[in-house]
Amino acid sequence: MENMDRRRFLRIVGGTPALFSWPLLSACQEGGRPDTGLGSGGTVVATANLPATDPLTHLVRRTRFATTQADLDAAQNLGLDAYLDSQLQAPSGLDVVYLEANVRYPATILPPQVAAAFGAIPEQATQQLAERTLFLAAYSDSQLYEMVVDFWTNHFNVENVTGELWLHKLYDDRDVIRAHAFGKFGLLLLASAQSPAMLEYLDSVNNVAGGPNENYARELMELHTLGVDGGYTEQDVREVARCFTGWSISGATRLFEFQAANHDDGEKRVLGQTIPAGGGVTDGERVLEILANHPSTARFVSTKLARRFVSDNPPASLVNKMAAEFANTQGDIPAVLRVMFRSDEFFAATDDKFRRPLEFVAHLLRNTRNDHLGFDGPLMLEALSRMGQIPHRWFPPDGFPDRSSHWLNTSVLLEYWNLAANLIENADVLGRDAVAASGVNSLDDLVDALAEQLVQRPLRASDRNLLSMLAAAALPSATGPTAEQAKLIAGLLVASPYFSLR
Amino acid sequence: MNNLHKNSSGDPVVVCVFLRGAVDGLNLIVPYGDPEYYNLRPSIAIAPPGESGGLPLPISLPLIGGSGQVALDLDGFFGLHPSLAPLEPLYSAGEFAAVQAAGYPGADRSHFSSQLSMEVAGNGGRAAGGWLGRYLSASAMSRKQVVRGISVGVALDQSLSGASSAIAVADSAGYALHTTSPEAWDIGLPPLHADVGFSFQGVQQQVFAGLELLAQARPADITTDPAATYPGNDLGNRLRQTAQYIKADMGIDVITLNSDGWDHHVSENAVLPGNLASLAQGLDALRTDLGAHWNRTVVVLMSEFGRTVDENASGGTDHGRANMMMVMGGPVNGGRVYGRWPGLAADKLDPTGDLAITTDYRTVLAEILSQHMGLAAADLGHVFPGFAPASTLGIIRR
Repeated sequence: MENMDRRRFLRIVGGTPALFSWPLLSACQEGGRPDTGLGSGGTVVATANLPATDPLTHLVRRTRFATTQADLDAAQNLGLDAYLDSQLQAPSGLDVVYLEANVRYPATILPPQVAAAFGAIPEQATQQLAERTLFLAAYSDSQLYEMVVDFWTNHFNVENVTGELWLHKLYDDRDVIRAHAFGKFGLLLLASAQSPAMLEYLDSVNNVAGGPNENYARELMELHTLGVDGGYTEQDVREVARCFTGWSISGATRLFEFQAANHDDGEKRVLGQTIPAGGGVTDGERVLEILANHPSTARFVSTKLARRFVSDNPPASLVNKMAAEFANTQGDIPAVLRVMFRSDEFFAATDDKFRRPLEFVAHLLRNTRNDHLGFDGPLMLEALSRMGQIPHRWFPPDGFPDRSSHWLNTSVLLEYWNLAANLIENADVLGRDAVAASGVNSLDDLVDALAEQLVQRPLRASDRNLLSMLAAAALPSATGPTAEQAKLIAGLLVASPYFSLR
Repeated sequence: MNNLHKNSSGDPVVVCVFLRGAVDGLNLIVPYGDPEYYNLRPSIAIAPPGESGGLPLPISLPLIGGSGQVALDLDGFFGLHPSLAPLEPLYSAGEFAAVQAAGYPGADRSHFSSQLSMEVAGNGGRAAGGWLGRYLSASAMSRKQVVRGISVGVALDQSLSGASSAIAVADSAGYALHTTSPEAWDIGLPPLHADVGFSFQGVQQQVFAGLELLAQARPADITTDPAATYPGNDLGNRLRQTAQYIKADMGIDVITLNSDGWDHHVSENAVLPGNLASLAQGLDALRTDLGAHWNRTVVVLMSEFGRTVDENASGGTDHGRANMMMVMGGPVNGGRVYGRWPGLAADKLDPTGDLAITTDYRTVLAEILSQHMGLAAADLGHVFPGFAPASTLGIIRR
């Protein structure tokens, strides 16, 4: 009886006689997903109806997996320029979070020969690398570095379940992606081409003279450099495959090895340039040089970076600026990032990105489980699995999708709500003492305090009122705001677009 | 079990299975009658039927069918990969048809752009949503269920996008909201997602619609027929859920799911048989599990493009052009391989040296929608803009 009364009262408070209205649904949704993902030009409407975000907050949110109010305060103390400079640095080898990651996940720091000796535990190595990735996304203070590592991890995607990829991926993450994430694109591309993970994943190890395997050659041009419309032909695919014949993995060192006996040493012609006969290993190196310096590569990589950090359909004016910087600096990654993060187009794109699961979970962890000593990797990977984004568990070579049209769906959104409820309702940081210590006297104050703490932005007046009234109706209190009310408000905030937009 | 949706019983259902990675159709629906097939694939070809099974020809086998595998005859020209044997009875019963040399003429050799353009089916241009999403919109006046389409997976497939009545559910058993304040969340979530852009509001409403429908119909409680043995992998799990949605008779008329891992650049002989056995086992289990519902179900299997007609040096095949499609279900006019066979001789291949496309894949899909799903002819142009079928296959029984 009490439940019935409460439910009825809640509905009155919510102002909705039914939970949802089908005609409204139809009206909103018919034709409402215009983004087919084909190239640029989708017409997804940017979020315009939430209170504005100031430029520094926007920059901070976009340069990080996970942001707390303390992170924002620290950035404000530095100022916009100094904050960006600080984030364009790779982490120090003495950084305590990275040292902790090494201790937690020892398999991830083993040299290949040593890791190979532990061949009985591939699942453990795979699990450790995935947990380490989330751990650093949530708790590293080199947040932009982790975001950029994630970007290149997907750009040069290699899953680590099949064959010996569990082993090679450890090296790939550490000595290819992380080593070059803030370096020159050309060096990253070469390191990737010679990474045992890539050599195995895209079948370079099977690419031999007389019967070339096209897999790497095609994806190298389509996904790593020129883009599908970047101006290469089927003949180029075949010729590039010939150039990379003999690129393989040493059985002894588990590292790159050029096997001259398997190399097609004839003349090749790639993108209009002749590669003379007898070049051996330099054939492939020459191809990488041509591709790294090709204008289509500058444009394609810039477009993808802008999609990752600015908006699903980045403006051409921004891509042009970034591509020019890419060309002028021979692919200097921090220089291109700097142009992007200082552009007008970037600052105009507030609330234009929906957090992917890894970003959502990392952000949620940093905000609700600030004590990383209690990090529960297996539990969080289970949540990521239900959301479809276990790190490195994307099998095709194009990497996890980067548009909201993929992620903002009925399966993922429900998982976000459930993880929000789970972590908030079991959070200590929002306990009775915290509420009391926050000094709030009214539910409105409590909503404001929680919004500042968890979403670092003001709410729409209607949302503020809604949360306050829901807490009062669902969890009545005669003695001022309670911890239970705080959990209800916080859970809904974290389940809302305020939290899942970045 | 509630009876809310009983009036939809008998409604046609289409299930679209996308084989991601470009499955090697020449080794599934094997053109053993084309002698070039054996010249082009010395180590991975499937031997013609009759080369074993009581008439062992141990010496000639390696010569003409290097894979050591022997096709099951379909029609005297095409044979079925032996690992697809569980589907042979369906073919004999006239419930399984194949189409050879089908494809999308606008496909390139990129997995990603080809999958996308085939699912969008916008004839190379932009179109709102995908072909199944547009089907749902076009037929919304005659089928008013709030939820009609489900992608069994963690994302809505591109083919189903664009319709308010399509949702993605990875695991129907776990599709519930778990909070200690369910009433407050029920009331709080809609306004928090309203008018904030992207598709937050619509997706929130779809989640609620899905929660309500699944709580009522409880598809996860539908018992699997004990005679149906699904493979113990993701595909088996997705097919089992597919059967549950259909058997629950809950107004779902479109289901999409994916099978990954068909990009066999190397060692096809080692990998393909196991993948196919799992696929065939799953489809056979689906038929068994569906029972009488099989008579209102059409399952179509497609892939983004075919593979090279010749094998590469690593015992695999690279990206090609035309491929096969498979169509099965009670309403299918099966026991036939449809499509004009263009031939594998050098002068019969298309200019890039690949198997030529003789049937536009949309011909097959359009026929399923119009002949099976009852889509009005006038709406076909909306679902497949810029496309008019050049011919009729007759792949659905009238």
